[in-house]
Amino acid sequence: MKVSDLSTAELNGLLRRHGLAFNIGPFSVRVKSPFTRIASGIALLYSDYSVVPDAPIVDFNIEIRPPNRLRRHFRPQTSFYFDGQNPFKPLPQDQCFAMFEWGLNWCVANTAHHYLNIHAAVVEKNGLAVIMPGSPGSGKSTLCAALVHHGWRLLSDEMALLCTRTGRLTPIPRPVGLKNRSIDIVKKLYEDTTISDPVRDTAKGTVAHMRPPAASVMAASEQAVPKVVVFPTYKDNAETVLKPLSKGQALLKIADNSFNYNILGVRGFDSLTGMLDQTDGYQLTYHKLDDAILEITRLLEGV
Amino acid sequence: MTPSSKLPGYSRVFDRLGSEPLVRFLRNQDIEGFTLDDWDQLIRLARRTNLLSRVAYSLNKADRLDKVPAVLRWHLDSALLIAESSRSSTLAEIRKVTEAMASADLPFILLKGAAYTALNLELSRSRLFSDIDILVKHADLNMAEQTLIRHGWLPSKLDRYDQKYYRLWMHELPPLQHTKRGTSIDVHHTLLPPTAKPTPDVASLWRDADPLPAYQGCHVLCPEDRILHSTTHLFHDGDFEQGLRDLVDLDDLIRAREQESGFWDKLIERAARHQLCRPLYYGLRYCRTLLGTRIPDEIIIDCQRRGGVRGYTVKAMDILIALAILPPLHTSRFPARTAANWLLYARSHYLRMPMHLLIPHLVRKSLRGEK
Repeated sequence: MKVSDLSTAELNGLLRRHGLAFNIGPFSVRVKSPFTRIASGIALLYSDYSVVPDAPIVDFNIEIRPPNRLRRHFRPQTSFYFDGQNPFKPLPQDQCFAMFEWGLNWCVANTAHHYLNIHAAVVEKNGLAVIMPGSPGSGKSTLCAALVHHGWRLLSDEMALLCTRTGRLTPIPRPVGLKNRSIDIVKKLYEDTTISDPVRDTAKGTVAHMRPPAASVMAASEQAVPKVVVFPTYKDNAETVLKPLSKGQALLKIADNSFNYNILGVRGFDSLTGMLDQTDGYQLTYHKLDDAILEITRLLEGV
Repeated sequence: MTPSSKLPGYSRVFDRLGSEPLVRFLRNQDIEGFTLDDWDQLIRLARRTNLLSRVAYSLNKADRLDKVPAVLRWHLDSALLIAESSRSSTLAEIRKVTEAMASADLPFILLKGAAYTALNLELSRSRLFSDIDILVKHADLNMAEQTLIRHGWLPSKLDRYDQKYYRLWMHELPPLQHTKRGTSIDVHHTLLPPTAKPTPDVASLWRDADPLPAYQGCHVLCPEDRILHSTTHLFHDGDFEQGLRDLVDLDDLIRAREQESGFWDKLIERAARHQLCRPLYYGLRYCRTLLGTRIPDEIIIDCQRRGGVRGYTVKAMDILIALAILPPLHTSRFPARTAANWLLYARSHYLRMPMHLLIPHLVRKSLRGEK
């Protein structure tokens, strides 16, 4: 059963009472929340995800609700709870859905060390994956959204999960986080896409989320082989320049973008060198999305 | 609870906790007949109380990780990796602190987790990385602060009231945080706020501290003082989010020493010298009740007498501890639990400061909406 098979009343009821359990890539999540924004966000963006009926055991038990404070009576706020633990300061209530997304990232980054977890967008074609690590503002999510609209499969726009045993990438498809200008850019380019209402004045500026393609969600159990690592940098009016990186540079840059490289120790180093034996690293500076897509396609086809 | 662990005056309020999977595991690694649900509860509650790495380490050491249901196994494998990296982060941080302090020739004592790690105690192999706590001589306090600041640990942004609160009334400086690594260090000059009633004998803490030859100028408290500091921290700081973890520390510290002849007499003698019989009594009581630590009856009775702990106070504490020691995992709110946590918090403050200081302080804190 998919989330979209639930009626609005059923979805609301589950979220309010026992929690809605569904699969996200290799993980299962149970979400409880009294907020209608959470219900509408999940209905809009997670419609293609499979519901785990009567699941007693899930990986992450999450609650999004007002903090236990007197202040909630005069300033509506939201908090994020993972097994009752509350790792973040409360946010204004209209940011509750973004808080769910960020909080879930935090859960995965802090607990799942059977993967080397790289802060990166990952897309795939013909079984081969492109990893695009990037600091905020590098344009990785915009580029990721564009690639997805050109028929690439979305593995994640936020984290590359490199399995430390197999050296393959495990998909964790989630809504694509868009910020500020990129929201309008993606909306304009791809009119048929579904994007949530932008929320203003968050820690990351104005944010909105794009629904991942159903095909990507349904193929979440199919791992992919890493083929190239591209570090994108968006620059106004820049020429498109693709610059190869040495293995050493690529290793340092990826380690720097990893959530848990330090925790994995030797295992992290081995996974990374193993991956770099079969992949090449590039720096991509771009302004026009089409050019960037062309370059990445060429890289993957080995032209 | 098994009858053997029942104290004189054992309270039925603990019966419920004895069947909690996490408590069963911590008592004697009892996983007999665990269902998938039990494992799930164990793992979630262990993570919530910062004990998941500890659970994983124990299971791995006993070669029983294969008993964990397959769907949950990754949680424990990950927790093992966290334990390993926590240990090396702690060791690295101890080195940095030692370098800084040595540059100004300042002697210091490592406290709590950092001390266990530097001593390579068994319990440090599964303890999560946390702030480093050190003790310096009162006369060295300013110099220590300046030295650490020079080495990159900067005072956290506190308002003037908080600065005053720490410097006037507390046993430690406002926490310092390293600009690059983000790690924190708490610099103490004694074990309890000067405004608290008990006055630990700081001179004897130093006199009996053991130097650690591997780290210049670095010491650890003597084994008895380590135990006393652990109980004092638990029953005076009032942060019961970490309560179970602190009891597990205490249980380990005691188990490592109890075989030594004269251990218990020396411990009580030390507690009396530092005026810490009361927190020691509570520490021993709840260690034995919850974790089954072997502690002779007469020691507990003696400790209660010397600490002047009255029977009805113990009954009240039993109720509060039983409610607060395991934090809730979900959802519905437990007013009793919230109240218990609040009372323990208020109690720790009451023990810290006389009323004329405490009431204005708590009012100020609650108006700002933070603990």
